[in-house]
Amino acid sequence: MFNTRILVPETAKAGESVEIRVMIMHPMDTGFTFTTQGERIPVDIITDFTCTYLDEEVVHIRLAPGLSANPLFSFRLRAERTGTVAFRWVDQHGAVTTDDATLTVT
Amino acid sequence: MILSRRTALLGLAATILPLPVWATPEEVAAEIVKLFGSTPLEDGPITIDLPALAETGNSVPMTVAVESPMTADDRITRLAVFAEQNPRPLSCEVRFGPMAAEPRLVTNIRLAATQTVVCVAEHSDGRLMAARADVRVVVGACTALPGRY
Repeated sequence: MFNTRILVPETAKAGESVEIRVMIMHPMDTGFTFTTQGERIPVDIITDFTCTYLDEEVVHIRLAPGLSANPLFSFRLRAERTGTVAFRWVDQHGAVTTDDATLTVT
Repeated sequence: MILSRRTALLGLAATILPLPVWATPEEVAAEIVKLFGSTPLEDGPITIDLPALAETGNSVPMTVAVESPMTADDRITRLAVFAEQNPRPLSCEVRFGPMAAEPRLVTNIRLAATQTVVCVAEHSDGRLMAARADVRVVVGACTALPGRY
């Protein structure tokens, strides 16, 4: 649905704390802004973001209009074994955007 | 009755002007109770990294980190960020799952005005911890010029 940018290191050592950075291209309209024609832009936001690793949750974030446009998140997960890091965003209309990366643990 | 030009203009402005109503610290306290329950807030080892002065409120980089070993029975389960004077105070709410290594989050928040940002963290034993940081905002996110951003 929306373009995403993710940054997951390719390799990590077991037990290491790995920094993940993700961003989704989305205007996150607050409902308080106007077009140049003076029309109000309605609220349009991403409401949920989930990151899972080895099918277990790393973070689940509930987003609000109080986050900037193109919401960026950076957090840390504990590397255990080689597996997929999956990301899932849901917007207020129910549209789902997914992305994933493979983390190789040595 | 003949409306004067000034009254007519004022009336017109009142109908089309935006109505972001700032929240108050009391409303934020009520919001915290709604999200976390009425457990009293303690001071905790929460570090909020925010610029002292933000030129625009549209995107203010923020790092929140809580000191915690994140073991199975001593961990931070939830973290929420509130901006006390935003029209909608809640910025984001994070739930840390079993794979999270540290209770730490970097993101960009919107700020409507110069204000205090409150972070609340919930410990797995039910304790609530809170920390505050003050930010001066030159141009608020809601008062930006017409246009998309």
